[in-house]
Amino acid sequence: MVLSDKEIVRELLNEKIIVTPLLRAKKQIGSSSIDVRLGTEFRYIKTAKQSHFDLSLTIREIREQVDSYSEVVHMQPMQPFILHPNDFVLASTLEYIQLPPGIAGRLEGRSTWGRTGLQVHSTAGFIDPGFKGSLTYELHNMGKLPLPLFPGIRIGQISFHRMETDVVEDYTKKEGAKYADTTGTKNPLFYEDYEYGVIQKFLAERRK
Amino acid sequence: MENQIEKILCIEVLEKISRMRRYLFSHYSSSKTEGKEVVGLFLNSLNAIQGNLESLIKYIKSTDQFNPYEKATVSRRISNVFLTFIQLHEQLQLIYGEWVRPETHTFLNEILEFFPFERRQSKINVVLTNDYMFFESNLTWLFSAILNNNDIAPHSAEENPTVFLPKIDHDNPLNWTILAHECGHTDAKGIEKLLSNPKLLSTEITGNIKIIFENWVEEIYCDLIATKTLGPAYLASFCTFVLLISGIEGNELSNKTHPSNVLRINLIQEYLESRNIKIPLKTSIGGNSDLSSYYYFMVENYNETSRKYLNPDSFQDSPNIDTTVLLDTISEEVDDIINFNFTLTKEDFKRIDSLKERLSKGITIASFQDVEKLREAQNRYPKEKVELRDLNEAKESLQERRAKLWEIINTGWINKIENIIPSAIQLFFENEECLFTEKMEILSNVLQKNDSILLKSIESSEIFKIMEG
Repeated sequence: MVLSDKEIVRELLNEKIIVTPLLRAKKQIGSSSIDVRLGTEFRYIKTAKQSHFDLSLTIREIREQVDSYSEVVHMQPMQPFILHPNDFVLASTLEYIQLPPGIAGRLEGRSTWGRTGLQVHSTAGFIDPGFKGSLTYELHNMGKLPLPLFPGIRIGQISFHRMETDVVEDYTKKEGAKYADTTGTKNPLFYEDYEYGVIQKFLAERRK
Repeated sequence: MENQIEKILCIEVLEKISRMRRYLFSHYSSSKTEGKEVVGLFLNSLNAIQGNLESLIKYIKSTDQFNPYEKATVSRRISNVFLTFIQLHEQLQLIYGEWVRPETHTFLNEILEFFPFERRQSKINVVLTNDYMFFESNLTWLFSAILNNNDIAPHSAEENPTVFLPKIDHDNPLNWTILAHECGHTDAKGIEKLLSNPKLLSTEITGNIKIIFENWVEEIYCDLIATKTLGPAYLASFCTFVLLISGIEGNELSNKTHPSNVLRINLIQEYLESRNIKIPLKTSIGGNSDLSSYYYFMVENYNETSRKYLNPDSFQDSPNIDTTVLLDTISEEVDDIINFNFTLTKEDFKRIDSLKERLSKGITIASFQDVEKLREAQNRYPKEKVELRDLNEAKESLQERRAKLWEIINTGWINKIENIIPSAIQLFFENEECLFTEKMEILSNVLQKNDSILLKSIESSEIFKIMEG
């Protein structure tokens, strides 16, 4: 069940859902969502020295590879990040978000920015119950013109979904919750998934 | 608690080690393999310093309350370890460095806004320095002097006030408070006005003593500017540094450019008390119930040791000063120019309390809610049939207000002494289960998370201000 404005407000009043800072509560709380803003940290991709992610590397080596695959830039509040057509960059919400164990969320773009070709996530827009931290935007400019993205602008919105029951194990308590409690962006941590260990073992045996 | 100050100081040095490691890692990536060996040398040296501190921690753990001799010895040892760290910091010139974080500029701009428009610098440069020192300089003068020395006429006469921030503190906003002091040095008009005040400088004071006295007045003026704009957080930051180096020469020495730390700390504390700028702690710690008293009395207690056992050559040219006149006159000037009525009320305490609670839960503190308004709205909000008017009223009560820079920084300091330091003391002095390296990792993660929240809060608060129009 998607929460309506009156239920979103109730959950905010009872501090079950936390979204802070709420710069303009009246403008940000919509009929079935809360608008979220763009933060100041951006993580862009450097490809000059990368051909692919090499899964045969050790965890330490692949962590180094992933670290060198992106670079973080911090923009000042009135300094726009220019997202060129077809460019992809990670960014984060200005807001800290916290969900209770009985509510999941979904991050979506705002229509205004959607019309310029801006996608706020490529595939991972779902927010698990119990999530805490800033959300990561996977920004992609699908339009024809470069987009000046000023920190603080509302580019996304979160809708909330009440679960039939509270979850037993919320996101932060789950083993392998890699992206909780962050204030900015994080590199992809696929090498922390258990499958990576399986693949590594398989590749090592094949090399024998 | 036994040997509490020594334990706190060990944690402070471990924090510095952790910060340098973070600096090294953040400036090294596998794409810059050419620097790998040099970074490795730094890491080895840091491990050696850490090992030395580990032995000291074992000694502190194994000893009951120190007698005065032991106290003086341990204090000297901690300062020696810290001085070694400072020397290693100076060698950061050897590795690739980065520019300053934008949050530092936001911080400085916020400080500059307290100055009257006609005396405000439009911009102050920030440079990361290898020296573990905070200072201010005018780069135009510096560069002109270099050119003049070589008979080359300088090109530009434009002033470039610049503050210098130690590299490892580039992402540590709690220590940026010292930059507020450095901003004071850029207020040439204010300093000039103060030095021409006959209450401070009688015509009888001449020659070298006059120059020294003028330098001291300027330093105290800058201390009070920082205190007026940031409150007890400035004293906290200053005392932490002073405590770490006090084992070498104590805090009562003055020199030609700076009055003694004891005098400076006394004047800052008196200023805070006279204006009732007190930020209460959750519970009284060692008999102190507010942020500035906590640090003030920690330095006082520590000084008792050094007074007895240190006998360095004292500075002979110290001017005789009437501290009451000095403080009153400089305070008047500071109160006159800083357009900010920094007298805390019960409402302010409540705000800090709610920010403290948020920060301890890992939530950003760029804004705060009106807790009473929120409680009222909770009670009033209909259980079932919600009308448009109810909804709008509730939304209004959810509207947050911006947390100001001084609120963010003081909350950060309180969180440090109420949560971070006690947990770290427990971890390093009472926990026998983890290895020392694991403990360091835990401390580093806590510090990094706390810094990220504070940095994000400073930037988000600025965005809040801009969006408010």
